[in-house]
Amino acid sequence: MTNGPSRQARVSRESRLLLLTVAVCAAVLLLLARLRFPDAPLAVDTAAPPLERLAARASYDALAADIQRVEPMIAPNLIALRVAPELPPAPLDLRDVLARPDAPSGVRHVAALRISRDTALASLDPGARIDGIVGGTGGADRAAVLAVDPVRRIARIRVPDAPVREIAPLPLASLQTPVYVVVVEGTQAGVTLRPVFLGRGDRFDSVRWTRPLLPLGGMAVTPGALLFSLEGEFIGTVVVEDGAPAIAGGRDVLDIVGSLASSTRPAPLDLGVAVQPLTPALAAALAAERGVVVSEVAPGGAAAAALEPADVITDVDGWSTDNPHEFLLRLASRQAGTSATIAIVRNGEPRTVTVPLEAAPAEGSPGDSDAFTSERGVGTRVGPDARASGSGFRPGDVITRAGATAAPTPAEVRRFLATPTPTGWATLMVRRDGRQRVVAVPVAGRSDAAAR
Amino acid sequence: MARAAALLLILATVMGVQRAGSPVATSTVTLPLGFALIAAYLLGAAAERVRLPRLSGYLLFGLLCGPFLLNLITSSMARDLQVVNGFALALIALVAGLELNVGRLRTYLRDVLLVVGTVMVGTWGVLTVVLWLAWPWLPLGDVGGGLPRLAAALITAALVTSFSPTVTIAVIAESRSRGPLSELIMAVVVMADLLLILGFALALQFGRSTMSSVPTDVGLGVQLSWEIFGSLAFGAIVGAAFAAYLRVVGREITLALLAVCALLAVVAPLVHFEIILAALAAGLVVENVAPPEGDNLRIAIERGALPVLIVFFAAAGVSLQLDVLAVVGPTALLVAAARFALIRGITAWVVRGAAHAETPVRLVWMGLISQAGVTLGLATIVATEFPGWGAQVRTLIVALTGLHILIGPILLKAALQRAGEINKI
Amino acid sequence: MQPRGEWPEIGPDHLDPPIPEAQGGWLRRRRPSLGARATAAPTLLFVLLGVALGPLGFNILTRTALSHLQGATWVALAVIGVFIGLGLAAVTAVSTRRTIASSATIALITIPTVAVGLYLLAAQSGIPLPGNTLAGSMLIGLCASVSAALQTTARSTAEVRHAARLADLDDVPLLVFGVAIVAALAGGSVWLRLVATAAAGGAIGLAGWLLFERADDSERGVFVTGAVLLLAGTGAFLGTSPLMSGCLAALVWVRAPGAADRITARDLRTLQHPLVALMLIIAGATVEWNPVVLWVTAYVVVLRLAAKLLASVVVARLARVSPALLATVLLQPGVMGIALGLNVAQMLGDDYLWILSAVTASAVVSEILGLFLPRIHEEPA
Repeated sequence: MTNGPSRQARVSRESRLLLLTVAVCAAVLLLLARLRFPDAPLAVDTAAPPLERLAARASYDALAADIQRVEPMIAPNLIALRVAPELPPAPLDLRDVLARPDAPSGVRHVAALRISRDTALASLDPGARIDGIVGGTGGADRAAVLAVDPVRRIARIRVPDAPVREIAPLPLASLQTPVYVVVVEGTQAGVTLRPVFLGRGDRFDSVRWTRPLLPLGGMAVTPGALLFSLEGEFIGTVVVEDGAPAIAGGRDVLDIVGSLASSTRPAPLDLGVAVQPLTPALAAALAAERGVVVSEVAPGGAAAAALEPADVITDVDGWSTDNPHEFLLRLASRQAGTSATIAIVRNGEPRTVTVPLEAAPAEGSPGDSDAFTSERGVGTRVGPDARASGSGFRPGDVITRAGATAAPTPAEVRRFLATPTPTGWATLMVRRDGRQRVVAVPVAGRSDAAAR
Repeated sequence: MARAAALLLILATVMGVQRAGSPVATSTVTLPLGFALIAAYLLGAAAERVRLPRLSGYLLFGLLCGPFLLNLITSSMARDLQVVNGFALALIALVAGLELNVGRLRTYLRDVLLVVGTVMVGTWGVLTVVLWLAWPWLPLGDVGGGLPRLAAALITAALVTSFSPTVTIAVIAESRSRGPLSELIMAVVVMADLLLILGFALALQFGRSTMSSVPTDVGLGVQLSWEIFGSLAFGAIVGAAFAAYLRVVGREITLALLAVCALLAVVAPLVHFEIILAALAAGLVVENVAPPEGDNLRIAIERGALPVLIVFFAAAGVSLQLDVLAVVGPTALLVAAARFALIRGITAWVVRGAAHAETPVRLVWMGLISQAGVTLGLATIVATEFPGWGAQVRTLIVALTGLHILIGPILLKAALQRAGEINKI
Repeated sequence: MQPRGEWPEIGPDHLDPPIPEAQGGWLRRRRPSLGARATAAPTLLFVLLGVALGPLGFNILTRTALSHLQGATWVALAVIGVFIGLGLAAVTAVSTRRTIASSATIALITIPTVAVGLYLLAAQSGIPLPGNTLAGSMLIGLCASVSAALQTTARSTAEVRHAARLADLDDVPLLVFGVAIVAALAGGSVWLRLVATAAAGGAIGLAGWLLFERADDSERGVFVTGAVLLLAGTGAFLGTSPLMSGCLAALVWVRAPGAADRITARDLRTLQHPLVALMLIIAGATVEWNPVVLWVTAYVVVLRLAAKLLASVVVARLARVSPALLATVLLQPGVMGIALGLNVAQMLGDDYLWILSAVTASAVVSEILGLFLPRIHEEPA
């Protein structure tokens, strides 16, 4: 039995010791924290810290469990599409095949996300054709492209009817990096899910997309792959921006697909101008410091009345660039029906013009073009205007047969193309790049002018 | 008889439930947890009857019911069971800290430092040389020659040398041992663990500089200081708070103890602290600065620690990879034998110079055989850093750990029995 | 079963105790101004707390966190099942044929009224109920039929005790038929899994009986905890319910010689209320709120009220309890319905989340209504 005062004294001494311990340890912690997490970042150590969690299971085990957990949440909405090559393959003969027996067939497998019972979205090129669904039986199981946004390469697709789970898009702005996400890619066996680590990164603005994109860095992820969080929320899709992979947000993608539902094939905005970079010599000659140089203006285009060749476009509604690629893409993403205020330098004088923004003009029949010239004894050569007329011809093609007529003259070609056919298409033989090939072009009066 | 019948009933129930499964079988940790608690405990009690440590019974349960034998606890269930790992580590280390009285340890300090220094350095050094010479004949992958091989040998030797404070402390706690040998062994493994982690980090850095293009990290010292001293400081603060609670409130001690362990297990990894070091520091502060009065804390520890220990070691038994043993068994046996001989031999040599050359120091080597989670964690780091040979070294370490976790507790309990320190609490 | 000095007597389960005077005093003093009953309703408080913490509120309990808490839910259901079993064993030991017949009559009035009424009303008004509508309506009927347990004391009248027994016995249809419907909806071989659940519960009960009494203090804690975890895991793994496995194990402990029932009750009593509170919070955080749930809740509240009042009037003479007293007792909803609703939601997924949502919401509404009822069964202050 202890006496009161000594016990009290002991308790008091111990309390002081405890307080001292707390004070000293707190000071040590603060000091170490200042050293460990200083204001300026330390030299980057790309390897893991020397001490990891002891006796913990490997992180890939936890990830595997997470993938297992999220799969049933998103799997019902995923489809793997077989996509045929976007361009018709060049003619081949046996020598070509024997020279490269293991050349890829061009068929791709793309993951698509079901957004309603009978529609889905996927990242496809404008000319892509869906060959089938992996695991589908054909017939009623076929999928078809309904509409494609040619600038962002997002397609709205009709798919066989099936139940769909609600998709919750996760805004890119609220994605806390670094983080593991689930990448869904299409393969020959269907869709695959794998974890990918997104490093710390900030978003950046893109000329083609409404909202900023998130860079993927050096990730080996297929463009067009779909990304989901470990809770099953739709993050977005992988796109290529400036040659590097990036993530376009789910909301952007869903908005685009939604807008595709209200129009058939949205035509990108085209002012009818061709532009070239402003080199130092041109800058000196044209007395302009920045911008892009107008090299050609289409006679019937939206800018025909406002712009001339050798104009230097310095500004469009407050936005400027020196990159012709970026300039044209940015314009293509604008809304038709509005107008743009363009600042130019003409003959050294700055001025401002207003241009109505119209969709690309309706493609006329190739028979209307003045692009044909005669190649005596061979046939008819297609001139540089062929592309502008929207036909399936390319400049430089030589038409060697039109129907039953060999070596046709330009007039015979025009007459042939003006004759309606039951299918609305006509086939011609052309010589292109030294090879003979068969080309189908729409005949006069057909509204769908894209050649197959 | 009654317990045997109960065990059979539980076994039959679990087997029947798994057979009868359901299309919407809800993945839940409760079934394997409940099964492990009862069955592992009964096997542990049976092991105690034949003078083996209870831990061996828990491990045996995990081994028998794990994916490689009966598969009553599948791989995914085993992963779910490991949810208590962090909590168990915190509890075990806290108990160790509560058992280490600095005042009493002062008398053994010289012996502790002598044993730690010589056994660690000696074992590590000799194993490094042996591995460096024998590397081309070992199934550990090609690292070339010269400095890279030396670095690989250094790192591998560090892994092989490492001890397991968790198993050691758990055996001492569950056998209710108290005495000079128990304190000496606990102090030795804890200090050795600390030094080994330091040495491993340096060896890893050496390996990086010789085998990869990553430049020497000048912030390594800062990181290590944060992870080691920061852990100790954080744990000391938590321990001081717990000691104050015991003094001022002194109620619901079991719940408070479990809450402290949960706090350490959850918060420490978030800021890159080590759970073991933090919990050890907490226990040290409670025991040495403001020791609690009465038996309440001891009773609370017994009540709270038992289920956690059962599940922790049952899960460890389930995760023992028997297939790895089959693959690298012979090499693992050779390396284990070399380690055993070195620890035994060096300790015997040290004893002659020790102040207390009687029982405690002579038997210390029996407490240094166990290996467990610490070693596996470090091996995983090596496998991540050096994907080629690192993965093969990890395979060897997994096999070694499996051997040592089975043998180590048996040896340690034998030592405690010989020293007459069992059931002294 | 004779009470021993060492072990507290097992009576009807005490899942809804009133708040003691010392804690409820401030409410009682404000009673005239509030116009409400002094006894706070734990269901209401914890469910609303769950809603506030869950995705519909501050999202502190995120969906991920809720999925990690599933294990705790199964354990809570197993513990509830154990106490139901212990209580049922006690009640049936003292119940007469008259009591059992009265209870059966109440169930036969309440369950079909709510189930069929909801099914027809939903069909008439075109409410799109996901999943199997008939089975869902039956489950709601069963959940709505249970009443809160009534705590009686030595001073309670015989009439109050009779009413309390009726309130306890109405758990039986939910346990038997509710679990069977859940098993059927889960698919696979229903009878095999039901039998397996019952057998597993019995086997675990038997194993517990062999272990508990002979164990020392620390061992007993391990055995009891292990048994409860096994009961929880069994029900979840077999796609039925831990309520059934827990109840059967408890029946074994009561029927077997010895003190296994008292040991379990004593060891689990400290966990009972925290687990029930946790279960209610999880239920509140899990519910969804949409027009379908709103309509179903409204129908259920009205149908339940009508059914319980009708049953009180019909059964009063048979049970020798006044209709007013019976109505007061039977109208209190309790937590059993929410427990089964949570079982359904976690086992069968989002398609049946509307059941949990409607049962929880209607329990909350019924409890609020109950606050305004006269507490005839309470002794005068």
